Amino acid sequence: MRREISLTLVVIAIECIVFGYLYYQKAFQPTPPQPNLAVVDSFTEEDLNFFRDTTKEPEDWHWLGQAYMAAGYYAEAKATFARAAELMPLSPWVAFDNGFCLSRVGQVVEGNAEFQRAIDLGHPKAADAMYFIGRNHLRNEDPENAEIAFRKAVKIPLAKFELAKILYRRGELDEAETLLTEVVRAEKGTVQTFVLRSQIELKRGDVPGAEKQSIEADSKWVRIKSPFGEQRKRLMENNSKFGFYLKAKEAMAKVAQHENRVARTKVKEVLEQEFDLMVHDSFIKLDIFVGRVKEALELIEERIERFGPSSSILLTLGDVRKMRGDDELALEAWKQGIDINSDKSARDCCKRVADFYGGQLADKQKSLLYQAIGAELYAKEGILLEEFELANKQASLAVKYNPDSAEAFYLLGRSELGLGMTDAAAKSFSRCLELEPTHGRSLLCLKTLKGTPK
Amino acid sequence: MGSILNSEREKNRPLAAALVVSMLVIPAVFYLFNDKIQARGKPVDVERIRANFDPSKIEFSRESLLPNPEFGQLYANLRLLPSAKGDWMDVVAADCRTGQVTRLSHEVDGSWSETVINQDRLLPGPGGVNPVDFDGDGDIDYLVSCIGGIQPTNDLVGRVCLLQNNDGVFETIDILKSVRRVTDAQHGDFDNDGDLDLVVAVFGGLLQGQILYLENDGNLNFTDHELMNISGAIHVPVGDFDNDGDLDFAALVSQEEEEVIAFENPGDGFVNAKRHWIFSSSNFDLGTAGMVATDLDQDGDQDFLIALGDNLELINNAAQPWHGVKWLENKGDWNFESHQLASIGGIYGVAPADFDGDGDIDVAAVSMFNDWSQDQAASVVWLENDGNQNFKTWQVASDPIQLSCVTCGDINNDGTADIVTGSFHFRRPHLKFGSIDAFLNPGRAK
Repeated sequence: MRREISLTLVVIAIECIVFGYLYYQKAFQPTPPQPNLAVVDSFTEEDLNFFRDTTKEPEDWHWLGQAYMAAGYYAEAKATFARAAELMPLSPWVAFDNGFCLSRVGQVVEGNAEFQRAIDLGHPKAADAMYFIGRNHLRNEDPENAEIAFRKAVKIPLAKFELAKILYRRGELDEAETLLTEVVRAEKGTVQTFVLRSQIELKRGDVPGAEKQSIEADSKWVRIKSPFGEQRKRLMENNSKFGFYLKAKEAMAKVAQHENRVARTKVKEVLEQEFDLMVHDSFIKLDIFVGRVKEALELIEERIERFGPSSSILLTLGDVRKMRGDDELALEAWKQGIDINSDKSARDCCKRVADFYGGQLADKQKSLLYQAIGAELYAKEGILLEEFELANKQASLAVKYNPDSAEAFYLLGRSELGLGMTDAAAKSFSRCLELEPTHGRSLLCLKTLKGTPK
Repeated sequence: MGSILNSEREKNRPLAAALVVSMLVIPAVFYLFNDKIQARGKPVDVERIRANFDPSKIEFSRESLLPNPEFGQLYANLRLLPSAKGDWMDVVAADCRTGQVTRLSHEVDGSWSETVINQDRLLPGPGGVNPVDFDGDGDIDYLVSCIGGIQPTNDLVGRVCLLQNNDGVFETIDILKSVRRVTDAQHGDFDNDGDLDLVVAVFGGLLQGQILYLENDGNLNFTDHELMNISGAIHVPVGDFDNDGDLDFAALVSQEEEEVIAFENPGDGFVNAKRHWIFSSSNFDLGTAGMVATDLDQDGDQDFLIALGDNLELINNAAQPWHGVKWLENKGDWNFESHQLASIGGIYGVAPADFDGDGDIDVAAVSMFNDWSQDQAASVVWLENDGNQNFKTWQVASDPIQLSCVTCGDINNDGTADIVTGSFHFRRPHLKFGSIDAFLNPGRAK
């Protein structure tokens, strides 16, 4: 019996040692870093504190790192990812995130070691990791190693494009152009390819060729798909999973669902913490929707006070003033909206002013003038989006309503150029230059046209 | 014997049972309470980029030119002008928030008064302002470059305007419009015909931008020549960089490339200008944010100072080790040698001046994106030149934060160079707001 007791005592002693050790390990393991939360809103502060206090498992460390990074605490994120990597040495995802964070704070050598580890551990986006390695070599002023990395990541069109840029900088223009052609095959009509082509032509001394590419580039707006863009999106998504941006998202969802009373409370809560443009816009929309015109007007004025005037906010200001019956003040706001920017909202301001003059004031001349300005803006947008038929229709209207506008003739020419009507385009550019002899873009287009075989 | 053993066994039975139970309970308890064990170890070490520096040996004192704001202000550019009102200099500011160019004057009672120059209409995001007698009628006009608004856009929102002074009443004239975001416009008689022409940095939106040369026909009609189709041109300082007697200019280009391209004037303007790539970096993340021309080493030619710290590609900024101040030393014949003068996070503006009165050129710098989570992170610093272009960084202020522009001059006419800064506060953290602040130099070192 004594032996059995002794044996049991030994087992208990071993248990105490083992579990004591485990307890010690757990109780005295390193804790996550505490960032200075005084610089963020209280929603974010509360959630980050909660995440920090409940970080126990390796996965918690990984998430906390992501949350810190999303909230802009890069130094804390870096330390947290490092701990997550210690606890999960075989996780390619932790290695990848750690690599991204290290790169962001400029520790490019360490970042690359982590990206390489992510690749070695079988990260499903190994090519992206290799692309980021290439980028870090560029950050480190090491184009030779960047080239090696981009060649390994060449299935990503942007890696191929970066490679083309390295070759262009080195003066290997033919090889750069070949790669660029491959990029175009993979992703058509992207703006970077036209810009680089223009630079290649310029380096070759072919100025008209460069100008042609330049004009093409002007109407492109799609960029080559980027792994960095994907990570940025992920960061934004993480950001809206907690704190201020989560509350803002919830508030805006309530506005969109027309749950007006709840929406109002939530929007106010959010704006008390931080002046967020999108949430504030939602608040204005909400007030207009429920007919609180006076409150909407106050919000618009607050918005202009904080962020200055823009066509978009002046359009809304005019609309709200009109709702209140302040027609003259509405007209003033819309006119300012036309004057200050040349975007879609400015176009809508033109429509409002043209309608106002045409309808209420029966001033056909002025109505036509504003229709012409609106048509010009519409045509510009059509050209930017390469919708040349639409642009042509609008530019024709602009020319009809305001035959003294050099800009309208230029836009007509640009739309005709886009539709392949080179003779008509040449005529339009010439007319533009008759009206405004120093119109540089018409001069450039005409020069390019003259150098183009029919 | 057997009975003794038996009785002892009986006696020990409860003890044995208790031990067996203990043996089973210990792991069970551990298993049950495992989740509730709170970690109490030391927090993991956090390694940070240096954000603060030795306190300035010159005791600058802060004077806010405008009342402390309740929210972020958006000043993009500042200039100093002699004042008509007294000894102090006037400050001209481009205010992106209100769409106004304002002139601040120091009054006799010590307050500052503010006059809006463009009273006829608002400007779309004025980002740069140059006081100049543009029409040659003997008074000061203002040349303004407009970025359209603070939100990035690919729309044609950029503009160059002249606020033409007609006997004290200013008329806003559009010199260039329907272009993408414009970040700088500088003037000079580039073609030597007696009137002022312009060079313009059209930063652009997505990836389309331009460097333009606008040739003045003498009646404020301009022919625009596209010198380069390139996105990200920020500043286009003008100067005679090759000492041949005519004005050249250089463009600081960021975005896709990080480079400085100089345009050599053959004597008749820039239509046939020769281009020189005087600086380039493969580090697309370098964050060039501003450039000024100055003869830093006082060897008789113009060098450049570059601010490094732009960091807007993600929602939250990060200070990076290559941020700071760079000097491009003019070695002649369009060769420039690059030197890093200081490493400070998020530097957006630089300005040269001799702060310690020792005859060499020092540098003031302001930070937009330092690590503001560190309470004492520097927002204003000056770099002391030891006379051999070795620089020591001195911290002037950590409040206000998020500063975009700086200019230097003897604003209070006491014989020492002061620092004037402008806030561009549009990101987190929303604290330590400023507007236009002067850091006055008492002219004594500790």
